Amino acid sequence: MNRFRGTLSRVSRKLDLPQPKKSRILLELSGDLNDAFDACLEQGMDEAEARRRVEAMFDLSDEAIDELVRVHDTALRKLLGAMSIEARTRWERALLVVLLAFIALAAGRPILSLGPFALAGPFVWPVAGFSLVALTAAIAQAYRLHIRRVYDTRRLRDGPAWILAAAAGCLASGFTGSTVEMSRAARVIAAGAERPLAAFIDGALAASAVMVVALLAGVLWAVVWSVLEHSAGRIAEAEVAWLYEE
Amino acid sequence: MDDAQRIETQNLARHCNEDLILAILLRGERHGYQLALELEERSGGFFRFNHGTLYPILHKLEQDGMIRGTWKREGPKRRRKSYTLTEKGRDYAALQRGAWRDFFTRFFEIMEDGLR
Repeated sequence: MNRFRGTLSRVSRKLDLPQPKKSRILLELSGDLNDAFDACLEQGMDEAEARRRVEAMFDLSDEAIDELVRVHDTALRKLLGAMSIEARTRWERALLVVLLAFIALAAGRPILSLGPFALAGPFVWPVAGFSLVALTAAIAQAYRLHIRRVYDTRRLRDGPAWILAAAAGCLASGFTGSTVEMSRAARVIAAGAERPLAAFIDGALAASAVMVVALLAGVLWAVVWSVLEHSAGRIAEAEVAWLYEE
Repeated sequence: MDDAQRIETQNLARHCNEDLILAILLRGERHGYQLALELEERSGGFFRFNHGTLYPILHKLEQDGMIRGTWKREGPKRRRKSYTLTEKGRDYAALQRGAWRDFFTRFFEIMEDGLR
């Protein structure tokens, strides 16, 4: 455990920079703090006195931290920083809406005209509902991790749980839909259908179609969840790396 | 005197800090803490750097290509960043030495004229 954890945590909270820049700055600061601490011990100070002295020497004021952020900011972040918070939020929301509309228009129609989607029947709607939940959670998490870049290690993994839950929901809907379609076919055959084989094939087609749609959606959201989890994990790891002086 | 050799009076403190850091690095590779310590020791405590303000200056100089930061492993668990002067930084430091000399010549001319 780093003996200057408190000082470094305070700087980390205020240092609004993306990783790995932030970790590198904290690592550099941590090295200098420990050097100064060793020098104070060599001068005959006890540990508590040395720590107080070093913390006073390295008092990073808000102005110094702001200056560091300014030095390391990218052109895009400088432009965003120049806007007011309200204007920035408005622009970011508008961009997200445009992005969503583009995805819906570009991908929606061709997907829905595919065989399995046309055959899947009404059970495609719960799958679509769960997919919408997953899409919203995925966009929110991607926005938090890659656009806004405000990392709170305790909340980094809050969003993706919804994606995984929605993926499970897709699979459950597919399984339920498939069972319902097969039992419907069984009831038709049991009621003395004129062409039992055709009824069975129709039921099996509808059941497999809804299962294919649900599996596709489930696997897609599981992959998205895994990518975002990996991303959040990398950020969390970088956030705490300096604590272990890795 | 061209603009590159002129000390801008509105950014005097920034120029002073940057040029003192470059001057220390002319002697060789240093960590951030060593830089502040050496500056204080060599000036007999006259130039006392707040260590917190050191990092923005160092990182700005690094971005401008005046100095180069290198990460090195010190012991099994410790990594440190140390700084060296680049060719550009060495040339700039030489230019700035002349600019400061000129700045103080003119400064004292005015001060002494006033006191005469």
